[in-house]
Amino acid sequence: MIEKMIKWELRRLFKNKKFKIAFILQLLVILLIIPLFGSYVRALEEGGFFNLSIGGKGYLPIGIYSEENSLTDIISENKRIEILWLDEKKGFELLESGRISAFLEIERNFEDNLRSYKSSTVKIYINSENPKSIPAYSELNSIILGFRDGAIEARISNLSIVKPEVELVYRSPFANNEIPDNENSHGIIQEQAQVNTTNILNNPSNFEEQIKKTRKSFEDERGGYIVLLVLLLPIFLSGGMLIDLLISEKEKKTGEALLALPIKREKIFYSKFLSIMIIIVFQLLFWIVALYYFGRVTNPLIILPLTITTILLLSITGLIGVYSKNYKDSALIVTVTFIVLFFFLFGTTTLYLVGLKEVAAISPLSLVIAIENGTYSAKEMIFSILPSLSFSLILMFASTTLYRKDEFYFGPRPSITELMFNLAGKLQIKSRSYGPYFIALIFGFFAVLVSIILEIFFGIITIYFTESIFVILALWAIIEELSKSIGIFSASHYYRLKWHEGLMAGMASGLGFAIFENIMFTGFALNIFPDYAIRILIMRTFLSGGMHIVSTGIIGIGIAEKKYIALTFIVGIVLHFGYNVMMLQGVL
Amino acid sequence: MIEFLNVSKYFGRHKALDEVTIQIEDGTTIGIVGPNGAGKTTLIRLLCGILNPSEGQILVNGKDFQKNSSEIKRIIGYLPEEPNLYDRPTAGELLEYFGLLYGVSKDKINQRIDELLDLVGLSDRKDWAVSSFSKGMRQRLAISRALIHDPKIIVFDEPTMGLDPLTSKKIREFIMTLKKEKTIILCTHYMYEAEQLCDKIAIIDKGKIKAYDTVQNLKDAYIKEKTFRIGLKEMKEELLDKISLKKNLRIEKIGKDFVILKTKSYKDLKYLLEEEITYFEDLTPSLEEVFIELVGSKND
Repeated sequence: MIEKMIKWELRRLFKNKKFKIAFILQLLVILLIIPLFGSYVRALEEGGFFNLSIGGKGYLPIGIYSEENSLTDIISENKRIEILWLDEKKGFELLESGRISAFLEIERNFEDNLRSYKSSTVKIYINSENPKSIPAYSELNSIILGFRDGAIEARISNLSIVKPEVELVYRSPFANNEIPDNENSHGIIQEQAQVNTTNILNNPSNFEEQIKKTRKSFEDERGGYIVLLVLLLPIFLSGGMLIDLLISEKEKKTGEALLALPIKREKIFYSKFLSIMIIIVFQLLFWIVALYYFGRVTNPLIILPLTITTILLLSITGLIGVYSKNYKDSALIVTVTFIVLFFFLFGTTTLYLVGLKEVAAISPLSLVIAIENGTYSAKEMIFSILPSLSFSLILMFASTTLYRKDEFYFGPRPSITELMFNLAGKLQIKSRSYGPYFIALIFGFFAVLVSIILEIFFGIITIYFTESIFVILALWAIIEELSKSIGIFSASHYYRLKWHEGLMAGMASGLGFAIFENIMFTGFALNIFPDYAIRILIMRTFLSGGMHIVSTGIIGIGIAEKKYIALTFIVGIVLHFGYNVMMLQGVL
Repeated sequence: MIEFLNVSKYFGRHKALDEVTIQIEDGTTIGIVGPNGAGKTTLIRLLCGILNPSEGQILVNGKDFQKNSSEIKRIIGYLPEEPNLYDRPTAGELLEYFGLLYGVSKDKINQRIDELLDLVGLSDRKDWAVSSFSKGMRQRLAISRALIHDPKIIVFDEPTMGLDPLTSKKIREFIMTLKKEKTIILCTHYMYEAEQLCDKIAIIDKGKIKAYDTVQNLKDAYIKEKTFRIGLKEMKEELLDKISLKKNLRIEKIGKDFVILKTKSYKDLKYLLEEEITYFEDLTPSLEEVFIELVGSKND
């Protein structure tokens, strides 16, 4: 049955001459984009007219203590970095005052040592209190790794021998608080990248060439970034198409005859969803094949993460289409959602480019770059695909649940609050003793998802405008406490809570939040610091878990008593913020 | 048999249908009449499975609609108030799509489409895009769509609304032809249409069924007095006095050569008919008066 509906939807779409023309043009657009694409990448390679990364030209001032060499040449070509040539004393002074984001100490005769295959050390110093230190570290680390790899490749290709054992050693920022000998400034964390090379034959004939190649590889990675921009066009357009299919049935009332059909309502939704999926996947395939043919895509496997991205976007817009009354209504929600999604997709991808690959892996688009660069692994694939796919499935479930309800076609559409209370109503259990706490606990789980979305959105905006980690921490405390309080409000909608029951409901919501958040953090930890994962889980269970339970418990008292709500919120948020700060400072 | 058992439907806090209980026997044509916003469309949408009841139960041939919706929907054809057809496909494509989704086999579908288009007078428009159709043609095409799977129960929501008299007449005639073999539920604003086409009428107001019976029974029940205009050869004083004295007869008006009388029963006229009368006219109100009697005063 559903295949007949998909066929019908496709036929209906292609009956529209405007759509047909737009679709063919969109397919052919790639032929126009490919030459433009080449010019764009060239522009970037030649000192491009703009930079896609966070921050503008000279956004990251760094100090270097070294003579000029090929490595400093490459660093100076990075548009985000502004180099200040400093001695050690001045370097640490400026690092501590926050005027430079990182201080690089390159060993004397560094380049000569490398040319003669001697071990050489580069040290990166950052100030943990300076939020710019992380991107500075990432940029410098990427450059140094690339430089090292270039040097290795030069030797391999030159000597036609097996890869020499070269190891980049860097200390975890969490494990090292060592201060340089000549500096006793507090809060400066030392990072050290050491290039240890085996002493092979002294023949660095193609060294310069390899340095250039390495430099190009950075630009190529940005090239991969532009591939994304191009390929994301049809994906973002698909959202609008799905909304049109869903809302046109409501506005033109054609859906009434569909609802009378002997088919389940969710099949109507899925037929529309899948027909748009088919069109977009076909278009992506066409574009990828074209890009592959013209050498702008190296691995057609990128269709996989792009399909996941399409599913994510369609599941979001599908929900909007189901929820919206009309086009006007949906236009506003879509605009806001696309901005959030854009921040998520490109924000994480930018993080990937600046080196925070483990964190950025959560976005399927990071996997596109990894596949393009040939650096993807099965673990990375799972880590990139699973969160988006799971989130998409949750949204699809929500869409079909709402689509089954008469109100979303015939009105009046329930508000978000009413839906929330409806959900709470469904979670009601017979036992009065445990009922409110069960609702609060389940809502605590959902609060994590709500928080993540809001924290990414507002976090990026806040860091851009304030550059203050403390403002971010305060903002996150507010978002999380508000999200957790939804569970208490929902419980109190169905049960009249006394102050101690409010406290318990708040604690249950905090517990639900902490459990889900800790599972997620442990998952991250397993990916980034597998050795520390268990330690992180235990630490978070007692510290973060305790904090969430207490802070939301306090808020629960206010909500139950229906007075002092503002005061309890302030106390809960301040407690949460205090904990965040203590964690940052390493007090806990 | 279709049974509504204490069916209520809420839209938000508004109760559109209030504990409706009604039985529709197989092979009958039922008219659902009521003022705007009375709940007529809600009632038939529930009957078609387009809406789900908030409370109560709908049974079709003894089966719960909610639990057997796919099976029951296959025997129901629905014509919405507005045809609301997709514009781009041709009439043939549209009917084929709905036919296939209703489970009509591929080898029978074309024959069925031709039959129906012929029946509604659109056989020469099979390959025309729906966007080129007039309102009347769309309505007739929508009727074909409702009948594509040869349903046992057909639900028409305002089938002649906004159509010219000629098209309306054609549609009414078409419904008359269907009456013989189908159960028809007709929701209409036009009392004469309901009176002409339906075996039974349900009058609905504010979500409640106010009355449900045959047209004649409704008239008998709700029209307390019958009105007649009787022309008399001779307007004799004694005759008029005699009429005035009759308990069940009331003179409404006396004309030059006629009287308008109100009475509860035809029997009361018996002796008058023995007089020399020139003509006799029954002015007893139609179903419209029954409707006004039931819902009019409260909706003024």
